Amino acid sequence: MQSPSLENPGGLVLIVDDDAAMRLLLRASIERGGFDVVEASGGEEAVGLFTRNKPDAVLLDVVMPGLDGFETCAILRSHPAGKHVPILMVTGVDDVDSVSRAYEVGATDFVSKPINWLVLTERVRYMLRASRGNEELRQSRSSLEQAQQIARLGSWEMKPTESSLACSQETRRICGLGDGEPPVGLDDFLSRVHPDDRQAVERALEDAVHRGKSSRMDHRVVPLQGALTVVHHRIQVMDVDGDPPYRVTGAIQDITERKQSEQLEIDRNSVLEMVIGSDPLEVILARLVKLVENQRPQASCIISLLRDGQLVHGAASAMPEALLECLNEQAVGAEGSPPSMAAYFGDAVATTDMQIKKSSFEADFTRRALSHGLRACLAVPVFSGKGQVLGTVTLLSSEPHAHKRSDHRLLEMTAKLAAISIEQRSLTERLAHLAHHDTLTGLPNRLLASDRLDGALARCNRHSEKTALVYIDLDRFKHVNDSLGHLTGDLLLRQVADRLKGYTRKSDTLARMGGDEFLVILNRIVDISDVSKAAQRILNALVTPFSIEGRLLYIGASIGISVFPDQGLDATELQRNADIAMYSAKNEGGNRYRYYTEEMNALVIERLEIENDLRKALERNEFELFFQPQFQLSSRDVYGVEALLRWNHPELGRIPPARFIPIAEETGLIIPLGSWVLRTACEQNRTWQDAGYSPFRIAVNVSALQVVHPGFVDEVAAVLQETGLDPRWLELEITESVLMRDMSVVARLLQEIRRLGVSVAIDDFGNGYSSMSYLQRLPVDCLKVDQSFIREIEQLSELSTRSRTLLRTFVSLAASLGVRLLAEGVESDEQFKFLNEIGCEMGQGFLLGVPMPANEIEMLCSQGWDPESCHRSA
Amino acid sequence: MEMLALVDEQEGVFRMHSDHSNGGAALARAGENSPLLDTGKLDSLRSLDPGGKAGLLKRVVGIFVEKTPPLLEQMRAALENGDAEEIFRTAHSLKSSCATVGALALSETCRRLELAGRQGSLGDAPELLRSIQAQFHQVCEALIRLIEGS
Repeated sequence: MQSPSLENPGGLVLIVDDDAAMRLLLRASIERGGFDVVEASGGEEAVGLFTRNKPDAVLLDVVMPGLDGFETCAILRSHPAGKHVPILMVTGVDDVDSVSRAYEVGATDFVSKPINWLVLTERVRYMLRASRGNEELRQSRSSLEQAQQIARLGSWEMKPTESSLACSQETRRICGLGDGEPPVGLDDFLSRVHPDDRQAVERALEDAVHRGKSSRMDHRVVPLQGALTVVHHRIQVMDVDGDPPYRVTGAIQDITERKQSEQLEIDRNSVLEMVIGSDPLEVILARLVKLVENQRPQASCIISLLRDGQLVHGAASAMPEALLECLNEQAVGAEGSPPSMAAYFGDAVATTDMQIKKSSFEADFTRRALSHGLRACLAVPVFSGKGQVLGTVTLLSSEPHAHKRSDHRLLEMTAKLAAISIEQRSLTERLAHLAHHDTLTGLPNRLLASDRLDGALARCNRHSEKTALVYIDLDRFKHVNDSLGHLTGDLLLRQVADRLKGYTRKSDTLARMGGDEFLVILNRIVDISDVSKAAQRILNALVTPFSIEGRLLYIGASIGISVFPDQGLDATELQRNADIAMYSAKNEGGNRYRYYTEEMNALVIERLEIENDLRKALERNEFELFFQPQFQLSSRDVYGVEALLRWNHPELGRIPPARFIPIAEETGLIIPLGSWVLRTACEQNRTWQDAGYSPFRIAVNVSALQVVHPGFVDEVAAVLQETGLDPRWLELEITESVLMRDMSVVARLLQEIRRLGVSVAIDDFGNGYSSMSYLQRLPVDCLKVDQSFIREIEQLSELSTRSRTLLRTFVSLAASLGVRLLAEGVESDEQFKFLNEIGCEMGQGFLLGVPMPANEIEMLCSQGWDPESCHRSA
Repeated sequence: MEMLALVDEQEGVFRMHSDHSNGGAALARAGENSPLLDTGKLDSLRSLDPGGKAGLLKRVVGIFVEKTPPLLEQMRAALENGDAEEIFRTAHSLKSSCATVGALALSETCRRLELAGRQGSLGDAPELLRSIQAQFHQVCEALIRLIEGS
């Protein structure tokens, strides 16, 4: 006999009989079928054993003392594990009553006595197999239901002849059809489909039933309670080989979440694309509201922006104007509406039911919300990347307690997108401002000026008005920049801009075109004389000195004017012509305005040609040095020569330095040109000495740009060494403006030059920037008085008196400093006489000797010029 | 020993076909037509314990021989007390036991007593009880012989 074992795959059978012999036989019979057995001699014992052992089947005798078989069966059936266990009741052979009672109390089957033992074995085996099958079916049905629930997948079946559907639990849940077994009427089912989709679903069902056409579709379902649902619906025809109407089954899956997250993804990308595309903020915010609405169709959304401590309307769902109104321009605060509080605290504010918490919020908002059936409110702040509150996103729902964690997450995501949009816009605005404005002065730049000009011209065309372009170029700004440095130059430009602002109307555009160029667009010109007045006002404004870092700077401006339509019909032409007029004003000496004329054009073209030709002139060897003697006035003896540059242009003939040196300085060609002059002058002087002439000093003009060019001192030393010229026969003439640079740097450079043994002269002394103080601090050997002072000697005016006085002062100054004084431009006997009288040591000019080529200098020398004697007497 | 049992459960009737040439058990007879012990029934019991290794028949008979006398005593006392209910219960019980061991004639007598007990008409009961007691002794002897012979 097998011992009872729960592991036996055959299963465990509980035998309940008060008859021991019967139990013995039953056990033998059951064990023969491969089952394990536990036995009880009565009902009570059976219940105990059942609870402990959970047998797979029970054989139960009906007639027993104590609990009889029926009672025992009923107890077992009420037991949690006994609901589905097969119970076989053993009844008397002719006991029909017992059989029916046995079924009543839940017996699975009965077997009559006397028992055929072999048959019994098979009966038990069959009963267990059936029970297992049922159990599996039960489990699979239950797990199918669970699976359907998890997958939100329901199924239904439609009998061809009936207009109703047998629906699974989940189908009922999805469609809001209520629990229960009875089939759902087709009309009921269709009534749950969204009205817009109903026809399509109905047609699909008809196609399936009558034409055997399976289909699948996504549509919306509106359950009586609960939110709008999106389902994926498969309609499958089962027996398509037969004749219609067909049996049809369906699978219906709730894909609302998937659809919503897909929609969210689409919406989010769309918003980001709009942000990248720099769409207007209002449009982006409206799209964000749509994003929220797509996720929460039954709720309303408001996006507010924080501006100067107030919430202002950004975008919102369609909702009563009154409600939006009371949120607009609402100051944020701890006692305000939920959005206002959210902005104030920088934290989410949720009101589950405004009806209850009415008192805690601003009454106006709450009252209006409630009057429109909105009870729950959730507001979250919009934070900038730096944690600054930019606004709020608010969700309003009609149902109290409607808002869940997922709503919170949705709003936070929306708030982030809103933040990106808002910040992107301010960034775009900043960039646009940067793109259209000059960073140094804050004025509109060339780009914006061009836009404004286009606008102005369009208006002019419509209204037959005139517009003037006033091009302003600062005089001497380049010198300030070169000599005092860019920082000072920038400060000056800012002051110029500020001053110009004071002289232009609001309707005009003042722009900085770059460098030291400004432009004023004068709109709606009535009288052309108004333009002249404006230009003169600007000139006057700029002539007044500027005070920069404790220093007074004198600049002026050259102004070119072109007027639409007289001097140009489009923006390009007007700008070009104003530019040309400006150059013309500058060429005339600056500090004046000029209207554009046709003739100016030719001059500008010539200037451009000069610039082009200048680049080739060095290679073509078109330059030549002339030499002008310098004299000791008292003896009229030659003291030295100044090397002067001449350009022999192949077509234009000889071009004076005043016309090409500024161009060379502007283009940077002055550096190689200056080097050529220095080397050629030194070579020439050495040649003269080698030819046996008495040595004399040669003065070479050096541009300010050259002096501060790195390696200049080394270059001078190298040239002296390579040409073999003794340094004492070289003098460098430097204009005053060089000295305006950083004093310590200039002092060091001049010191280094003098250390080479080369002497230094200050050219154009007394003109413009003069500051007496630098003379004491700078190591110079000679002062060359500007020829304007000499010219004025003869003029019968106050000027003459003034220059005579100044010249006397210069003489005593030079004497006290121990430097030579040289008068430039001595052209008349009277000048010579006066200078000689006041004790001016040296002079240079047409009266004494004109600039001449090298061979003429040689002739002078051979005629008995003895510079040595001058030096000796000096 | 081979046996084929066809069962018609709905009528509650067993029709037995047995190979009598092989049924070597000595059978006591109570009447002309009614055998003291039913061969097929006993064969059926034996089939549960092929070769008798588990001594099933011996143990079942042992239980029957041991448990029946107290039951008969309970019947007698019940009859003395006129307790029809008790007569019904004990008669039913013995009816089953008898059927189990193949004493179908005795079982039939018990069934008649059981019926009398259920109907509460105990007129025939004393005679039925005497018949039962007599038959029981015969059945016991036959069973013991059967066991010892086997």
